[in-house]
Amino acid sequence: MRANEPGRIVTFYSYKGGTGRSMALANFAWILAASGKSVLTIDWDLEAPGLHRYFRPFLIDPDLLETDGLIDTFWKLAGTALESAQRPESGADAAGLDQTKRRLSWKFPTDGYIDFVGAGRQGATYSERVNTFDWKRFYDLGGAGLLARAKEDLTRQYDWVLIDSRTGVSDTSGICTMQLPDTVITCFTMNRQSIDGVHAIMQSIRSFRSPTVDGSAIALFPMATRIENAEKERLEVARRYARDKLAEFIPAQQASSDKIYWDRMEVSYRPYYAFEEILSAFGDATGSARATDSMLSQMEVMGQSIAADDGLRMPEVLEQDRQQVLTKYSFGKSGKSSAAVTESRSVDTGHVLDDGGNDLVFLRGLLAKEQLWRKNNFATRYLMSSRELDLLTDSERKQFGRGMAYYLANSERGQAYFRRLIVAFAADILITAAALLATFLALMDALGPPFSSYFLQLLILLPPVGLAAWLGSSIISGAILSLVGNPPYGVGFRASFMRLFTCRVASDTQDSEALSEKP
Amino acid sequence: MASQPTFFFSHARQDRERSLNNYLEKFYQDLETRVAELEGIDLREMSIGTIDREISQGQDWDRQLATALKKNRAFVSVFTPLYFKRANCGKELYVFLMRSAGLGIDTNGALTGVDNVIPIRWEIKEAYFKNTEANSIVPKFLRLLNDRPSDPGNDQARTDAIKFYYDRGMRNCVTAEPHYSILLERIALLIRDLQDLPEGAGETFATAANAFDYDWTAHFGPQGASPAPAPAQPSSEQVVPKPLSSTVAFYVTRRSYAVEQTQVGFADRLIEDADPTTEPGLVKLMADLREAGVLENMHLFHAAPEPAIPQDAVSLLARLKMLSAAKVLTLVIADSDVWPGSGDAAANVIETIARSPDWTGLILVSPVGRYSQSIGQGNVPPRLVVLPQQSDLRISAIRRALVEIRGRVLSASAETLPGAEGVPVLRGVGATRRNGG
Repeated sequence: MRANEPGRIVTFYSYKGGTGRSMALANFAWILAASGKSVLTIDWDLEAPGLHRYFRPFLIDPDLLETDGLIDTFWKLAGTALESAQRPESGADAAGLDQTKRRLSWKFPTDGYIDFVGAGRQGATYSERVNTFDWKRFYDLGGAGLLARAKEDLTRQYDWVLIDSRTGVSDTSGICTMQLPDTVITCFTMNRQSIDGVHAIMQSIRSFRSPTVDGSAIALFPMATRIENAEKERLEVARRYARDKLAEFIPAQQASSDKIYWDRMEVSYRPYYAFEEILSAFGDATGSARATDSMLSQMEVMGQSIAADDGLRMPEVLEQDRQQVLTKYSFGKSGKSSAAVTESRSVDTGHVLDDGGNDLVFLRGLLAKEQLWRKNNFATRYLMSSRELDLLTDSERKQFGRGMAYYLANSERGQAYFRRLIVAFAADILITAAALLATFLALMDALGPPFSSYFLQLLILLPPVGLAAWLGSSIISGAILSLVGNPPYGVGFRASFMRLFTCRVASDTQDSEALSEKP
Repeated sequence: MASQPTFFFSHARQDRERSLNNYLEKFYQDLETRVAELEGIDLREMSIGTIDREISQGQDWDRQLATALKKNRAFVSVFTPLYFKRANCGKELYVFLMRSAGLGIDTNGALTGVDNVIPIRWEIKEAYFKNTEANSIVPKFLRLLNDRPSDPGNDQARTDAIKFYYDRGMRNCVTAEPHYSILLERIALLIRDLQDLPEGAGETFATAANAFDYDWTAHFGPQGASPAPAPAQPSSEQVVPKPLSSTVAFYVTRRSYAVEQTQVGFADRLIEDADPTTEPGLVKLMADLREAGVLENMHLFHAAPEPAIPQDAVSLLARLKMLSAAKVLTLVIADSDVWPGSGDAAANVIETIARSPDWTGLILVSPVGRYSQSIGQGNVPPRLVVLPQQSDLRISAIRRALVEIRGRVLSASAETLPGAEGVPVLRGVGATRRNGG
């Protein structure tokens, strides 16, 4: 299923609540899955679970009223531990932490996906189930060993495992910040209590997992959230305090410049996101109106820093799909009616025309293609075909967001480029042939009869003359080509060369419907 | 018209309505989609599944359901404890079964020639257990149904998926990838590859019998029993209580129970469910207990002390102690005519048990007599839970009781694995200052 490289476990932690920790996690998961990663998200904030709210439109049971979760798995693990403590020979097999996972119903254009493990089945006895779990006893019974095995199991199955930790210094926050992860993101707001809190916590984590003790270092990423620009001077003071105090924890490979690190790991306070838990891929319009300074772009930058991959991007979402998802987020509509289920099916598979008569499947296919194009380092074969370019309407062009518009421009430039390339090549051949003919005629004229000797002369002269003619004409056609502009992204020498011989202008993938998801 | 892989989706409507139960709806839709994909059918042009939805009521709809039952190729039947108790589900099953030409019965009372009925195990496997006997709440005549998709065995992912499904039920499989896709495909293939049945003629829904009550042996007569040797019962799995996940409930009552023949060491007598005609109240209580168990992922055993009304606390207490030592959860359910008659010998016995520190568990009593006003109030003795009479409230109360006992059992456990590590503890502000950072 996956490459052999083990996945990474990342815990999102905050000393106090309300820092936007779950939001950062959910968005990070979305970005990763959009770029083809397998992602598991676990809501470990058992006392105040909330991660599922960000995934609400993509869950069949959005309120988790009949979905078991992490605490239910832990009870099962405790039973296993007791059983094997009583009868060690029974060899009861331990449950993995992903026993209760559910896949989010959203089709990413890449092979990526998000699995979600909720905190536990909500309802009558949820709080009792959490509060009666005795973590100390669980560890006495060998809980640490069971978790170590579970950890191994998770990293084998997933590229990324993201854990939403409990705040403060409770038992559970210790387990998921110290024992399990290899990376911890500590979210803090710009006040002393929060900053001092994460400082102490990071010290604590580092001393527990210092490289000299158990050989596994842990990467720490402090992250400032809820930045409000209203009180500029006071913000600057707090910012300086935080950056000085937490400087020692900035990950080594990122420390080329502290300022760059901090600028990338700041998330602003935005009232829109304070009222409802919405993923920024849907909260911020991806259309042309999209500002560069948005929650979405901040989440992108944050994700790029953590994953150390500047290619990560929030995927474009079709406006029609975006609106549909937004209604499922909104208050009051819990998506429990069967109509909502039917609706969600149409998101997955429907061949639907919107009000403007646009073929949504076609448009989704284009977005998918754009995602692949970027994910594969701008491979030419994912540019749009001329048929697709023809089918696009002006309103669709307007609706597309930043990334898609860029892709569109490149597709158009790509085709114009290939067309010119072929014209220039043809001109090149013609000029060469003309030069050769001219030489031949000049020879005939200069030497006169008998004509039979010309062929010998010609054979001797042809290579130097031909080469000179070729070079000369190439310079001319090269000049023509340089007038028509640089090749677009993804078009290298090899791609250009192949195009010349196949004389094809359009992209290799004829249209989005024939698009393979596995390049 | 060419034959199509149509199927009737039979379920207890209450199962879908009681909770949000989006999973059931989702499963139905995904199954229909998958079958259509396999057969190359465009669902916008024709539907191949029929489900009884609350939104489509009325005469026309009834007729449509009846037609579907008489014509559909497969009968997908969603097994839940409630399903076997619904007369409507029984009638649907009866109408469909009557179409099977090869219908017969074996010497164990299980129907043969019922390949077109496809059972879906919806709940966790413990929901189908009765005491130590696995799958025993599935009616006898359906025992020959293969309740797991067949596993040719050369694909580990498929084997895992089928095992997960058997343990956790389809409810827990819906959208749990990769299991779900594998299971959907197995079931859809099963439907696609079934033979068509002859169209039903005589039976109408109005005149149909309830298949769950119907005397199938009499239907075929003594000569109807299949001459072929009866295959072994699909499951003779013996289930024993496990720590933290099993509960033994002792019913202290003047009523008499049918005692089960199974010999097990942990209870004096395991008992059958009460008779619904004579003791509907008790039947309901037992069903609520079992449902609470399913909701908390627990396996419930019904037991009665010997003698039924203990003369002294010794023998019952010994049982409770033994089970508590094995970390099995225990409940004592004291009937209203035994408790709370203070001064009565039986009531004194229960009070002694309630005060004993040697076992971990709770005593459940009905809200009658002394405790009729006591629900949710503090004036009851410790360890005593007064059960509300309304079913849903009662289920919540039992669930809370189960969770509470489980918590106590875990906390009271004394076992320690040698060399076990402690819980890693995060240190807050100031923790490192004392020793100089």
